[in-house]
Amino acid sequence: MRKDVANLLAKLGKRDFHYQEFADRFSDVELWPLFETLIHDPRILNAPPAEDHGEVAITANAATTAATPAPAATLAAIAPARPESEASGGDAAPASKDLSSLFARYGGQNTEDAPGDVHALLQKLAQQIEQGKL
Amino acid sequence: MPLILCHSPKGGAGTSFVAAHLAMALAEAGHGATAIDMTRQDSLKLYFGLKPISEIPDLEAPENQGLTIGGVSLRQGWRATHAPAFANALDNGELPFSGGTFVVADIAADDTMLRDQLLPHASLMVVPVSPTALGLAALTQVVPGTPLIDLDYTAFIINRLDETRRFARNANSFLRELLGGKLIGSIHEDESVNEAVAMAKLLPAHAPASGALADIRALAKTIAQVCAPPQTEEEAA
Repeated sequence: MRKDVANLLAKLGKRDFHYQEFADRFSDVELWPLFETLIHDPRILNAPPAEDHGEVAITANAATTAATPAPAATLAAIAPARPESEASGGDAAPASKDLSSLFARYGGQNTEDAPGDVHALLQKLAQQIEQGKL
Repeated sequence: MPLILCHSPKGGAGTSFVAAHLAMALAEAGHGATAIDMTRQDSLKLYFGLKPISEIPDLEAPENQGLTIGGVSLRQGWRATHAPAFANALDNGELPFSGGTFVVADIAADDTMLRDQLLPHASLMVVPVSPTALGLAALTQVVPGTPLIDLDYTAFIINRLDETRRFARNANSFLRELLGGKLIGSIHEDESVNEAVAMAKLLPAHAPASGALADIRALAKTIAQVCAPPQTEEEAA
């Protein structure tokens, strides 16, 4: 149970709610034209994303945190995977841009029909535009 | 002394809220923390339970004239950071902050000049994004000249996320896919944030069970770990 929900129920003194978290699957995302515009914008993505940006874990500027430059801590190193049930309201993002694990996170076990990457999203958008659905 | 810049390309994304509560959460976690309001708007203090009429010490005021609230040393830095001496000091490679604490800087959306001056000295830039169409469109303006996905030392936070709203929910999923590990989390929409300011109270005192508060605390933990200086061999042993 998410921490904010647990806090709310504790505050209300209620313990008899049926609680369910609905999976947030990327394949269920509606294809807003703005998303396509952003994906095509060179100020957002200048190169094909999946292959060229395999690991985009956040790092700190090590030169500003230590006297001598040292390898910066990466989120991948400091954020071990947590079970979904332990995820707090903060809902920290996955450690790396490993798309398969990202889909697993969104969709639980049902990941086989999720698009593979941003290109797949783009392809779906193009198809829908061709079909006149957008 | 990690300097953390809080700056969004779009006004109204909740940058001051993020800066204030990031500093408070770092202090709660046992880190020294200073929050500097570098905006003309001067609203950072409102998240510390102060009223609009309250004055906070200038960045250059002596240490014994400081003001500490919620474990955070609070400073007004608009005047000092816009003085020529500040830019000169940065040009000379000096960062005119001292001490061994986290310094969290709140920078106004349109003050890209100050953001650019400080960026080379920062450990991390935290970019709050509102999950709205305009908020997403503004992502094209984060740091002109560098594609968003290639930005170093930059962490994105979705702020004021209301998952009952269709576009916000979709934007959340889209940004997770687009930004991957650079999106370090989200803060849920929470009216108690607004109420705490209206009551001139600290959010943890006004609404200890606040969802937004839990969210920013979790994010602060991540940011502290990312920004902490690497351990020396001795410390590691």
